[in-house]
Amino acid sequence: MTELTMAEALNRTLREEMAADDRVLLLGEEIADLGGIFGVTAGLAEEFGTDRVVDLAISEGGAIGTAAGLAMYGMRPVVEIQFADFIWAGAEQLFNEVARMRYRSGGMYSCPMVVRVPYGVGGGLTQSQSPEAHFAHVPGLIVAAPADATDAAGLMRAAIRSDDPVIFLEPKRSYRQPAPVEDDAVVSLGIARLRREGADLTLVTYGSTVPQAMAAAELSAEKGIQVDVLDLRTLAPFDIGALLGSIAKTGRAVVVSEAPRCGGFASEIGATLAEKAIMHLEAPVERVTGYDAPVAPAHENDYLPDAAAIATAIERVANF
Amino acid sequence: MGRQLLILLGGDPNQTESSKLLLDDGDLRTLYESLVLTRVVDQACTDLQQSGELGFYISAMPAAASSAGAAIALEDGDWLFPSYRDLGAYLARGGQLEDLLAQVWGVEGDLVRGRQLPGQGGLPDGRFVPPSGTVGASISQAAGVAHGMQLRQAPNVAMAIFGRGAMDQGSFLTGLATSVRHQAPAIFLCRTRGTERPTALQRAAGLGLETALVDGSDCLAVAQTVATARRRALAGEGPVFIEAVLEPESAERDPARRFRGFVEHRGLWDAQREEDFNRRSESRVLDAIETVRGRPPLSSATMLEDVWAQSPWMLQEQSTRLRGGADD
Repeated sequence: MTELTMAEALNRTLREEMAADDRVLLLGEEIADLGGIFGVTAGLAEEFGTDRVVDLAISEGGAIGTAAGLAMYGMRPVVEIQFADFIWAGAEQLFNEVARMRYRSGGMYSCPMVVRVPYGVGGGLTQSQSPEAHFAHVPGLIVAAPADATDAAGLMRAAIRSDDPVIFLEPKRSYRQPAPVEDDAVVSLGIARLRREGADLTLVTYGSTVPQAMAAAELSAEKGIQVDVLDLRTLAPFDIGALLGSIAKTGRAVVVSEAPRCGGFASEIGATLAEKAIMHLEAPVERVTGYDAPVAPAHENDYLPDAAAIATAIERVANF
Repeated sequence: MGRQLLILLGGDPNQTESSKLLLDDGDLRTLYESLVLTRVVDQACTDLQQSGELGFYISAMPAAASSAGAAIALEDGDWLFPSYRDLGAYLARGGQLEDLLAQVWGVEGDLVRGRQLPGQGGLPDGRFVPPSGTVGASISQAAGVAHGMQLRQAPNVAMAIFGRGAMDQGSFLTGLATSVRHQAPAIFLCRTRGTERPTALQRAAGLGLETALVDGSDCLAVAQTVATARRRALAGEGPVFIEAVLEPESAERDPARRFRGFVEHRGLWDAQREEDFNRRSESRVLDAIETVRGRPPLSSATMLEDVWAQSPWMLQEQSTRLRGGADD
């Protein structure tokens, strides 16, 4: 067990997986010389050479298309996208090609690859998106969203070993946050983590908003409301068993995400609870989300759901 | 390689012979037979589309000569990303008639399980990647496969075939540029009318690729050029871009006609063989059509398979719904 930041944990996991499996290679913009925009690939080109840590031109479509070919051929590419907002230039390859290759070929070809996507508020109008709902909507993709170094390491290992393409959402505000990382730990895709236990309400979240959710749970506890904090960790497929199990216990839910509200992943959780858990629900499910507006760099703090806003929602739903 | 239009067929067969052929007699005969068979299958499917039995079918013409010609120059282990008119390559790369027609009819035996439009099937192991519905998408993928071949030190090439419409797609730029940067063993074959400005060749040369211009309805010129490009790529000399010009008049329905004089001149073919092979091809195609007409449709249960490696809970639930049960 070592204390590592999320960037360090990802770096170590990539290094270990590359050492263990020569099919694994990294592709991205300035990932060799610069070590990637957040330093996640620092030092890997020196260790594995530029054949396996490949700097590509600035073209997300080119990066994902090239990786698709490598994956079809039997390699295990890991692509770094600098900011989630930039991935749309590669969406055609990702949605029409990578996600559907297994399907379209009747299982003859597939694209097992990882696309690392730093996401969330922080950086600017085209550096702040939370696009998880778009990806979760595409059949054939797995969408992972770890919250900290511990889960980032474990989920990355599972993602690289997965036979499916994985969109790996990295909450960029967490890159420098330390957390304990176990050697060789694997976190299975599709399994949620109950980060805090309480009988009164289920607080569902993932990725970048886990810290605010934990802080809100603490605020609520001071007011005598004990909450389950369920960190989904994987959005597609999400852990339906853990979600329904917690709701059966608490009967109340608040869902937190920093993405815009309309059509967001929080809505999918709300709809699922309405369909599958209505007999357990004692209050409406409430969403605490970002706004249906772009993220202006001048107003980042106003945009983000903070612990106070989440705690207010918890109180409202708990006392409904 | 060459910016002069390469034509090998149509002139004096003796002169053609003098060019250094990279294909052996077996390949030449297979190429000729593939072209005849392509013509017969394509005509049958086109007729059945016009009569209404097939709702959709894209003719393999006038691409068949360049399609089969390119494919015959590839070897086992080489990958082909075809375009949507590459029936000729499907047959030249060893695709079976019944598999092909099962795909066109969308019945049991369709290797791509009903997921592709008629005529857009595939073969495993890189022999024929089922073509994408989006123009040009496979170009950067071929560059990726070629890069993988380099990393594995495999004695193989990856080839993408596409039409002139793909030249303005981003995948064209990135696929070509990436393969140049790695000097990857990739071959790009673009079918044009020869009238585009900038020309396909100008674009590719500008990106640093070795280029070649061929008559796209001359199957031998295409095969010879691809075989040359293949040798070059495997020698580590980088990717090659081939522009295959299809003249409007090359839209004829017999891609084998120009090649017949050549194979006859080499003693690989004669009038008797021609008659026998034509008759046999027609009966094989008719028999295969009868066979696939008699096959059951694809089970609707397969609709939810092959989405992920393992079906997640949502799909398990939805497959219950598909069978007429409740969702949960």
